[in-house]
Amino acid sequence: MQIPSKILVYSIFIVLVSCRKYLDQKPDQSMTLINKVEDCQALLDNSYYVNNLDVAAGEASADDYFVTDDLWASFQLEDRNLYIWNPDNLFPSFGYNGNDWSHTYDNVNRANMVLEALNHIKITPTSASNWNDVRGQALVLRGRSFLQGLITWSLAYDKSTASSDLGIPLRLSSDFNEPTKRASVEDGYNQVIQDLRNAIDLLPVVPEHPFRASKPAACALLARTYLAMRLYDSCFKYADEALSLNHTLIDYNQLSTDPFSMELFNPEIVMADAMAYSDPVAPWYGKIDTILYASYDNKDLRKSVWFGDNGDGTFYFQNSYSQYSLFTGVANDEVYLMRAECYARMNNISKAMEDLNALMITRWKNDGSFLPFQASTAQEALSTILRERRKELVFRGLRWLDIKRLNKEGENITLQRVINGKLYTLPPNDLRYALAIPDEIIGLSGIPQNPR
Amino acid sequence: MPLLAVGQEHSLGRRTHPRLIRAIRTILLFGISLLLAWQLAAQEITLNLHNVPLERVLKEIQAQSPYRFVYTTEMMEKASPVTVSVNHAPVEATLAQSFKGQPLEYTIEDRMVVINYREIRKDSPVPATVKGKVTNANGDPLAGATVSVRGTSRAAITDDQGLFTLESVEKGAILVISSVGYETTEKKWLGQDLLLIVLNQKVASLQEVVVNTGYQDLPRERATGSFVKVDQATLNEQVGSNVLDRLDGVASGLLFNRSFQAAPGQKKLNLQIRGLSTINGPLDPLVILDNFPYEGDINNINPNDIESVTVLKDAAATSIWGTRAGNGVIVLTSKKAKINQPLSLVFSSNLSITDKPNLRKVQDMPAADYVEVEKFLFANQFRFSDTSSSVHPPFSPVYEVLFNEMNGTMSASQAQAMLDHLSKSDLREEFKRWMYRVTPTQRYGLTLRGSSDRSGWLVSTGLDRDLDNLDASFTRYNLRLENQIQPAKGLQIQTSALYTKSRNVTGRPGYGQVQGYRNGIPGYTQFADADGNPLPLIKNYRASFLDTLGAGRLLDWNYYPLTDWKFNRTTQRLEDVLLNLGVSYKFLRIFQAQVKYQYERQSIDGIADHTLESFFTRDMINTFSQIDYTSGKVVHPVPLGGIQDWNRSLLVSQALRAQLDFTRQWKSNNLNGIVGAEIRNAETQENYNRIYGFDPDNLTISYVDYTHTYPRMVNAGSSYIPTTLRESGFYNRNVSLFANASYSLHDRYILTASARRDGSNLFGVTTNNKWKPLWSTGLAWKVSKESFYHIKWLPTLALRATYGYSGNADPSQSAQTVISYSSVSLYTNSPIAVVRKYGNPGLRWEKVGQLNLGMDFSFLHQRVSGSLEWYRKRASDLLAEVPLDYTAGLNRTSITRNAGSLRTTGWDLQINTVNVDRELTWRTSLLLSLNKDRITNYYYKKSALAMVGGGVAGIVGHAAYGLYSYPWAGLDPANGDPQGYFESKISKDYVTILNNTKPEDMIYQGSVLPTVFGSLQNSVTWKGITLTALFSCRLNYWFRRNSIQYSNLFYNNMGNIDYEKRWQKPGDETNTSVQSMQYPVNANRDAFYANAAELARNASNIRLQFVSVSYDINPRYLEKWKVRDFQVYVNASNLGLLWTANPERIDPDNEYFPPARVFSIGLKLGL
Repeated sequence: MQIPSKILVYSIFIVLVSCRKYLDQKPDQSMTLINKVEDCQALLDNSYYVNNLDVAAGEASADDYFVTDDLWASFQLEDRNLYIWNPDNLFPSFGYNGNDWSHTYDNVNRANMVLEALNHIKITPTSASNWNDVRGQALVLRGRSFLQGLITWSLAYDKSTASSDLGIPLRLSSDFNEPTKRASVEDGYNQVIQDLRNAIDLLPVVPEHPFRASKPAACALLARTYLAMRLYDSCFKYADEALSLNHTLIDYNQLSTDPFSMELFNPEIVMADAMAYSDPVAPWYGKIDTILYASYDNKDLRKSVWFGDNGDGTFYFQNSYSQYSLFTGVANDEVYLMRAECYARMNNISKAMEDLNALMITRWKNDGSFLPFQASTAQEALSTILRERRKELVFRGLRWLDIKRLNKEGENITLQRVINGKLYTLPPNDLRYALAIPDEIIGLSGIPQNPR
Repeated sequence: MPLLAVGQEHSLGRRTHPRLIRAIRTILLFGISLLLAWQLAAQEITLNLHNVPLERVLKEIQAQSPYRFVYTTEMMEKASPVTVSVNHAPVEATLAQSFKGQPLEYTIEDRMVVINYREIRKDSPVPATVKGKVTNANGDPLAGATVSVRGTSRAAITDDQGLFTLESVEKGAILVISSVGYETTEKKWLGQDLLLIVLNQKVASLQEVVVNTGYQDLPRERATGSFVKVDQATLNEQVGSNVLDRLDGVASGLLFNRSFQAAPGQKKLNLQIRGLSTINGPLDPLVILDNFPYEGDINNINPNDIESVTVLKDAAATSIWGTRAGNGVIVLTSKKAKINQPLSLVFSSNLSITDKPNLRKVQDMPAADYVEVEKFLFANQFRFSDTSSSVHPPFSPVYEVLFNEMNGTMSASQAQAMLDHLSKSDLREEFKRWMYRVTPTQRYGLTLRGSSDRSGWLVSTGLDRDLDNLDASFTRYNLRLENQIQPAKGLQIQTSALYTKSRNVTGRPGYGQVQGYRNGIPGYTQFADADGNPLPLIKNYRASFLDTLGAGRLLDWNYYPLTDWKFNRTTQRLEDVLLNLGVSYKFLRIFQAQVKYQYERQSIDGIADHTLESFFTRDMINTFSQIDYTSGKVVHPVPLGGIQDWNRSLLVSQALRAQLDFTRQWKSNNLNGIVGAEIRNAETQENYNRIYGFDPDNLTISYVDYTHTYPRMVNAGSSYIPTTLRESGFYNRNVSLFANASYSLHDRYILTASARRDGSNLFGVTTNNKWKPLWSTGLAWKVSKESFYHIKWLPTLALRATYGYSGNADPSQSAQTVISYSSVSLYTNSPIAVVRKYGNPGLRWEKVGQLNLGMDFSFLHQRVSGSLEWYRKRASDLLAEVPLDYTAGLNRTSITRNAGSLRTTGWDLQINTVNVDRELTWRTSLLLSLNKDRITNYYYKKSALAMVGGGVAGIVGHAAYGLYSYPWAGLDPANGDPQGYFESKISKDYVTILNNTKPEDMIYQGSVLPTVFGSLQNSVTWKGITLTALFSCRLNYWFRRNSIQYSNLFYNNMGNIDYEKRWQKPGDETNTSVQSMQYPVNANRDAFYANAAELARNASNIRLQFVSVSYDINPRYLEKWKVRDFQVYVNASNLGLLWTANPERIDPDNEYFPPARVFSIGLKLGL
């Protein structure tokens, strides 16, 4: 009687063969692994975290604004420190709301989770475009998060020292067990370039929503990256490509001068992101730098659209592209200015002024008073463009980057603040241009702090 | 563990009721469809022998069947040669042929064939000399056994050959044969020349115990691991409907957690085996019922159905259960149907009476003190601002009297009279009088067993009707059918079906469960007036406010504790079906193949019924009522009618196991083992719902609108109508491969090894890590069997050593990232997902490596036997909270991961003695366990404030669950303020002390779990009367006693007897350490005082767990009634503490008051 033993052998066999699938049942039905393209998209569509918590510390350290002594005194310690370029203690501890560091790496991790999940999701003919789109979005998210990190916590890119300058941790895996290490500035920028380049071919030209990345957005971010590295050929190439895909500008004559009246997701916006809330640069606290305000022509509509009167002779920024928060995404004005600057640096004066005027005509009162900007030398073109860039990209989270890179170009920008009668200065290329990493992170990970 | 005999159910003789057997068997065969078609085949013997000695035939039969023979050589010499020729014949037929014409006859008892000289029938009762031989079941002679003639004083002792001689014994006399370690047997002498007597070994002696691991039955002496077996008789010494509770005090190394609190979800059962193996993981041991993990409610199991319990303690014992066995394993084995066992019936019944609890032990302060305190508060205008509060919080009765007096609506003398009246009442008396009852609990059980040659069956039913002293009831019906058939040689089929139906209904609120406006109620609260009418308790709003509110259009808004429970009952109905099917087949003499399947379905239906009369429902309806004061119309968004909360859960689990057993014996080698595979699936579906406006008369339900908010009647603002609607589903799947083997040489050296690989659907674990190999190995050496062993006073000595791993799986952790969908984006109109668990690719099962060294011994002719074991558990990869650098992007600063480790060491000592073994026997068993756990690795530091809150403080070198206190510097002599230390200086800065004391400056008193525990059981038997008493001790652990906290007293009406001992004037600090009363109250001062070292107490205690007296009526008196066994007993349990270390004599395991005493009386009848 051999049947029972055969049954035994068969049942063991069946058990072994089928158990792999059998064990894939999820233990709690309300939860899921990231195993569909839709799951990845749903993670990236969590716009509160993905699109609204960009780094604010750079803007708070830059020179678009000032605050009064009383207001400064009312800030929390870390914000007060940021304002006077204190060497350390610039970020609040994690607490409940996190800080710029945690927001940055939360998005890096989100991107990593999606990228890892996508590797395990089969591409089918019907899902291919979605798969590519989502992968592209994740790469852009990671690339631009790293870029913000580099701008904030590392010194300006300098080809001669980049491979030894301290960059930021480049986390490329969602495994939290991996130790945190700082890469070099060179490696950091290379990673940003790699992520954004890889994204370009995957993304659609027109996204389903400006919160999501698109091909022109990836190109523009890449151009921004090369601009920060002062590699103007490459910057030009991608700014040009971005504009070839989307060059819509909005006419400021159509805009209201009421506070917070800017249309959300206006057509000039290529990708909509905003800065995390920060007291110093919040519209109701930070006052526009008086010299900057004075530099606008009265026919320049930006002056009336953007700046609201505080009633005490100071002005506040009242019409961000993100309404109540500060816009940090990609809009075509920035891309025009990048291409113009590159043309100027490449000695193509006419093309440079053409791009500048294409932008400026939309900012000027259409009463016939607009006189196209002109330049006779490349140097003149460049300085005109940089002046207009200063005035166009106010409170866009780009000024800190510009100060750092332009000082490397010899612009010699020295920042000054006065609090309680005391003068604080930040000389060009100071070590403090790399902000101090939160102490908690230094303590927990053992990575080196930026030198002081 | 006291190792007493298994209660034997006596036989009724197979020929007595053939019709009954047939009838029952017919019912069973029809009842279990699987057995319908079987045409039973015989136990087959094939022989063809000519003229051979009888002995040869017997040996052949023994080889072909499980039957064994007992005879003497002398008998075989007298037997005539045999010729036998049978083909596939039953054993009995073969025997009948072989014994034809022999001077011998045989009787078959449970596959043991005892051969005797054919009875010589003589009519006159002439006294003669009886010669006999006493052997054990293996036929080995037993020396030193006592053979006495019943009713006389004549007795003989057997010699080395087991032989005895007794002069002038009358034919028909009954001989009583006894020997230590064997069951006492009676035998009628019918005139045989040589009386052969086989004594069965008592399960009592350690060496002969058969333990069940859930995979195999293992003779205890061939095991190297640490097992504790608790037999049925021991289980029956304690009454109570939960089978695990009956292990308290009788299973070595088992600790019942009486007051220990763990994190939510960490434990369902309340016991631990050998202390902790995990810090944050699940704490429950794995419970096995009939070979498979039991997923249902432990209360479904009727203790009457359990034949034995085996506790697996060390790694060699538990590793076969793999990743779920890290906390030890408890194997429950049901009573089984057996082939070749006589028809028997056992009926048992008992009645328990639960006394009212002794509320005098409650550390509450007298009513007069409450009145005094409130007068003091009133004088200080405490809470006067609440009179103008928009939420109209209520005031206590004393306050209302004082307000009335102040407003002039009551005269001073009236007020004083009322306060005097309140001062005289006593809340504890109120509870005793109105809430607690002396209640009866009934249990009935009936077990019927029978068999034929090829099949056996068992039917058992049980009915339990428990009623606790608060009238909460538990009713359980059990029906169990078991069947075993042997359709062909070597093939066995076993089926069983267990059906359980139970119902739980809640009763009255007990002491501490009635809540007023805040948590407590004043000590002068009365539940009923002089005529017994219910009195309202101030609950949500002030009475004077309620009187004017709603112009009489609202429902009565008072709470009546005396009657409210009737309208607020929760009923839980449970039905459970457990089906087992097992097929085993023996082949090639060394193999046995088995397939086992189990199916369980448990459904629970719970309804919390809040009728319209209940305060809960009236409060809800009133809160949402909208009154139009001009028209007088009242709208009820929460409709008039009852509210019912429903919850349903359905558990379905299935398990299938295929297993191959092998046994091979050659020369003095013995090899056996098992290999197999198992697959299991348990699914749970749960749903919750609430219905409003329920009308029980016509079963109508009203709809409510959950989507809008409604303004609340009293406090401004609006709320949604609450709902409990929820659905969930859980799946638990496991696949395992396992093997174990044991090899013994010369019965002296035993080597065991086991290995297991587990796979589970533990969420998000990558396929590689889903499989976890665990192993163990063990060695045993029977030292006393060596030829060189000559220690006379210690005739039995065996040493054991095992090492191995078992595991712990925590389903709340995940190796892969788990997300859930939360909402839809306003902008992209697409779903948004959030991360629920960040995947940890490094997630591993918690691993418990255990080393166990054991020694088994017996001496003084087995009068003293026992074992001593030492173990060390190193639990590593324990899930622990670890600080996390948020560069990882997890938006958090700490995470749970495999980072902690814990070392637990301990001793288990077990000694059984037979102190007196004559007409009066006195047995003692002593269990003593030491268990010490120390955290060896933990990264997360808790703050001082969190440390005093309990749980795991995570201090390396201390017990996982330790008691920590703030250092105490005595009372301030000036004002009685409690004083502590901060940075080594005496301080009264309570906020700083509470929050900023460094963890290392906290005083560590010790473990909150007993580190020494044990029990002592004595039982004395005389003429069938047995008196048993069990004492248990729990030593060397700590608790924090409650004392007066004025914030609790002032705001929550929660006082403490310490109030009377408080510091009142300078100088008091010399004789009291109770903080003075301070107004206004400082909650931080209270919090410091409550957690100061002053209130920490050693919790050591000794208690008398139960006393029982039973009487087994001598079977002689029962013979004519055909009754073989009749026992009556009384039992008293929860008898209270004999000794406590704390001077206040607080029962540390029952903080408020000791559990009520329970008295039981019962009977057991065997036919």
